[in-house]
Amino acid sequence: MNFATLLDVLDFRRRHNGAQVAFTFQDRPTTFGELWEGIEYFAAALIDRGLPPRAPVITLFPNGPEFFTAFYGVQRAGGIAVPLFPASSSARVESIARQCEATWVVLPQAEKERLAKDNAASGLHWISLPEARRLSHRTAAFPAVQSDDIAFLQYTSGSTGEPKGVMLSHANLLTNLQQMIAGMQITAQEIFVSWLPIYHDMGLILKTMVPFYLAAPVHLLPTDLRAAHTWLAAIQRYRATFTAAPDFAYRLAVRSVEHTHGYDLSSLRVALDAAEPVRAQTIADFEQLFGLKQVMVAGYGLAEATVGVSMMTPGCPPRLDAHGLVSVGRPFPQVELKIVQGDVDLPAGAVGEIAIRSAANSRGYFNDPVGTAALIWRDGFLLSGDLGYLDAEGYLTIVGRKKNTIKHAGETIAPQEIEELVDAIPDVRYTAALGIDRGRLEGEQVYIFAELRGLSSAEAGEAIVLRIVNDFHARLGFRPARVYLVKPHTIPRTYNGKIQHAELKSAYLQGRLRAEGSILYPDY
Amino acid sequence: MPEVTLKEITQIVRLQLGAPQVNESDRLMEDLDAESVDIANIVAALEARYNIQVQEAEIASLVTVSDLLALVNHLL
Repeated sequence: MNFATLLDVLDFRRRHNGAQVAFTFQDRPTTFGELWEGIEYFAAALIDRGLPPRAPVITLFPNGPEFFTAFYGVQRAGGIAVPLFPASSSARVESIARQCEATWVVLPQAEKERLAKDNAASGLHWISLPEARRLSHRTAAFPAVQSDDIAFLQYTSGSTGEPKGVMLSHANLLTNLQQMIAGMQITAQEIFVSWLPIYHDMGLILKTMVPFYLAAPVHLLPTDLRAAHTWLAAIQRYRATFTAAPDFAYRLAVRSVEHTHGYDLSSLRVALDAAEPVRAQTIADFEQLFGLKQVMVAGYGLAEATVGVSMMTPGCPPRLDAHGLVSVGRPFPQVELKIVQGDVDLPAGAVGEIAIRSAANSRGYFNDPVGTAALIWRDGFLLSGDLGYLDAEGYLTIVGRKKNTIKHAGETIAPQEIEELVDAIPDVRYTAALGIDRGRLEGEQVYIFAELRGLSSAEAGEAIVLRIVNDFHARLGFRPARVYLVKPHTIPRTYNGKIQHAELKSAYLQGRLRAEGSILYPDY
Repeated sequence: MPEVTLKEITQIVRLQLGAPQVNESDRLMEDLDAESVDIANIVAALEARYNIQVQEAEIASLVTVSDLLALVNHLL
């Protein structure tokens, strides 16, 4: 199959598999025929309303069929889709609209009522899908879309928290789909189950574009990191062979499913663990709890390389180094990796920044030449911002984020090491570690934020803090400057579960955590 | 202004050092195994808790838990 664009894929599926179910959402099926019809109706409405060519259009939909109508409808009308977190504040939507010069926002009717009213003056056009449907005459001529055209902008938070719109062309996306399909040996017989956000990279590209490309069944669930039972039950019911989630979700599944409740996950061929640091303990615990063997595989990717970069081969055991770090495997076919420091290539085993060369590499950030220049290394390699090393056999291991390591007394510490240590303490739900330099003699110090489900008393709080300080001291040989016990969901995360350390740091330093009552203990 | 009590100070020292038991006469370094950076962090905690400013020179003269108590009450 040789497609130039994602639209070609869907059009092909409509013609050859029109009556076949493209996906289910909460068990309700949508066929490829229905999917395409909705897309064209909406695209026609956009054209009727005068959408200029290559205009970015923000879409604000949660998981569900409407997302696809809006996302591909924009592309079919010749625009660039800008899918954002559906519960984004109006300030966030406006800030991104300014950044990408979007004037159109498509959203569900209820959201329109919430957002559009405080935005009367912002010059944005807010359109709900039912309105578009009513307006559509479906007489429009659709513009030709080329493989080099940008399909969508994937907004990510930069290291300092400012939004960056990664430009992904149809060619980038189709390349990465083929790389992942080949690398993970995915076939049309695969059965996908996913609760990942379909408006964000792994959930969108791996979990919906790949199955659409192959016409393989995919069963989608609402996004809810806490609904481990729904996820596991869907895997069992649909006899799913392929699922994917960040490490945190697997940890949560292990914790919230005290005993297996008879969940039979034996249909799984691949449970991909990616998008945040992969822990050996998570793989061991999850597989043991559900009696699985060599099903969980570690993977690595980033939006700037479309999504998938490397993965362990399904069916192989995890590969651990002397520090207990789990390898994220070898690069997918037609993806080249090297480890660099400044302008220099580093040899096998040396830790440096991971550089990637692939036809799936983005051409850069939209409207951001400075960010784009910093992203591109040379010879077609981009700089990931992640630190890692390649071993002698070409397996990649991630060590941390380049801009997010903690420097303590001349030593570099990965926040992940601390977070893993603290997460292992009973009652701690989720942890973030920050390095903060108050400009005093002592220099950069470690601050720990540990989310608890709740706190029964100050005495209980003291006991948990003491445990954290002592476990930390035993492992690292010094003490953290401060340990805060915080409410659930205090630690900001991306839609895929990556901790946003920069955002947490500014929330803390500006006093917002205290002002919002997020800090449970102590009171200073 | 009400004086800060020993109870409050020992609690902060316990939390900062991870020490289950802290007494007024304990020496921070010798008895409680604090390093100089831990003392700096205790002082930062006291500054945050009581909204005070401690000079670097004053930190160097802190030896015992009761010194911390005296310092805070002096600055309040």
